[in-house]
Amino acid sequence: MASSRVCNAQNLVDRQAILSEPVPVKKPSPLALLLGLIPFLAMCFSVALWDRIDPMILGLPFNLAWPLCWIILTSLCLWGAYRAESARDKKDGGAS
Amino acid sequence: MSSRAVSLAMILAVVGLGVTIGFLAGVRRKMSLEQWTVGGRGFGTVLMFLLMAGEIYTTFSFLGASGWAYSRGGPTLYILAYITLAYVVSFFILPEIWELGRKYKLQTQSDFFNMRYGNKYLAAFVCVTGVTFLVPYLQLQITGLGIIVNVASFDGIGRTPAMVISVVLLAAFVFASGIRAVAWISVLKDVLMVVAALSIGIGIPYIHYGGIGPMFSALAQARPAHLTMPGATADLGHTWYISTVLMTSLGFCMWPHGFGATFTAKSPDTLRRNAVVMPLYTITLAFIFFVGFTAVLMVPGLPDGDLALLIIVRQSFPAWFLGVVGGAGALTAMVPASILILTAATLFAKNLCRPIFAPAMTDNQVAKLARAMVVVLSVISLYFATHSSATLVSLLLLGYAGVTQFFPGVVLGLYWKRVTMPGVFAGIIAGVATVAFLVLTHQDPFFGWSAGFVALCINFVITAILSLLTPVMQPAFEQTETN
Repeated sequence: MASSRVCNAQNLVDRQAILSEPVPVKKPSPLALLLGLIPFLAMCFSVALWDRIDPMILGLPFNLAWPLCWIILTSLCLWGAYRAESARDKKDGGAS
Repeated sequence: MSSRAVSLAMILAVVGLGVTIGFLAGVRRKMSLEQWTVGGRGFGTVLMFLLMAGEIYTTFSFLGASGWAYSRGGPTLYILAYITLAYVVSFFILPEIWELGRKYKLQTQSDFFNMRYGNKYLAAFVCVTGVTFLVPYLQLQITGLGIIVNVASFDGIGRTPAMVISVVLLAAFVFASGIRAVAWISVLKDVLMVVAALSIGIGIPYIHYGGIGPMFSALAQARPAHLTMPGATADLGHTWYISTVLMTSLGFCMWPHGFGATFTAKSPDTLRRNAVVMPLYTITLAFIFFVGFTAVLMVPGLPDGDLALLIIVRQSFPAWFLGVVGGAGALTAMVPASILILTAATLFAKNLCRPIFAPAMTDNQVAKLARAMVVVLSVISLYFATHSSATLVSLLLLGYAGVTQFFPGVVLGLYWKRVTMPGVFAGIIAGVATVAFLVLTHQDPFFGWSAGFVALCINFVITAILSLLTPVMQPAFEQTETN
């Protein structure tokens, strides 16, 4: 029991020591966040607008064609966000 | 040979090939506990991609998604949206979690909570909750394996014995391999799965209707309501869709195994690039839906929607092909199941037993305990699998409702300095209690809202209020403002 308490106290000290040298947690850039929000608007919140069978597209009901199309567009949005984030990382790296 | 022997032999051949690959990957490296759990740090994009892709193609997406297309109709579309949006969420939070993991040598989700909030009881509670909600996910895979063996044997092997056989195979598989082996078996599994999904997704509508378009036209004529929400259900409408998609896409990265797998990535860049590419992988799921929708008019009246895909494959193709699809399906259950078992067992030993009950345990003893837990967890999941009639999709939704409760603790922990340990602890307890109450009293969905989402909202509110009322005891991760 005593040993475990010592052990915990030791852990706590280690933890304080580690955390005193902080790790930067980056907030995502506004542009990347915006690009991330678009797929949520298109695939989630707007469901009432596109949940119907007609018009069928390439033989698929509209509510199946729409999300399929947005899977590809989401990938594009994230690619844009990726570019935005890595451009920023590069700028930060250069500055420090 | 009878059809039964042919299809079962095919399944065995496919699984055998997978196990051989896993074995070859396993013997080349000696496994320490760390390697057993995180494969050693430094999986590159390819292995990481495979591990995370292992997440998309599980029995859930294979039999469960088609099963819901068959039995529920429109609501099954939530699956396409939630997986895609989950990668959007992962794009933003996983790279940050990875950075912290490297800095503090974190291996598990509990480690993260312990480091951020400095309370081993919170960490242990996170661990217990995570393991508890992994069980329905594990149960799902075992049920799926049972269905595959049962249908492929042309009902010669009953579902319960089929599940027992599957669990024994599964435990053997886990002991023989490790996470690195599992990642390599994923290669075979994914190739087979994509081939199987495309060929049955195109082939089955073609055989029965002459194409995918004509199939949907016929269904739109005969059962138009089936194709939109709430489909064949009374309460899975648009409110349910939005709340479920939010609850599951936020919860996706909170699965203990996914969280742990994050630390195995080589760099945060790997994780970001994965998030860009992975949504495209979801497209093949549409082909699985086609099979389920074809089955609606072709094999009506099945007692269990989760049988739909295999039954219609059995009717449409020769026995050897049923065997190939069944074998692919079996690997699709076994690969994720072994990841789930490994994660749950190590979490239990390393993040619950050692810190709380036996701080003096050596790494060796922890590894032994973890191995014992593999057996215990398999038996528990088998018990639930044989005693439950829940659909595969509802099992996964139950798991999600639980793990998504970690989301406030993780995200506020990353970005909000003011969040406190009591706030997070109370929030998770309230969230899990709400899920338990709503599910056990059969109130999911709750007035049209997904139970997990209702719980998540309560969790967020309690975490925020209590955090503001209690003093900050622990240092936060430092924020860097960039513009």
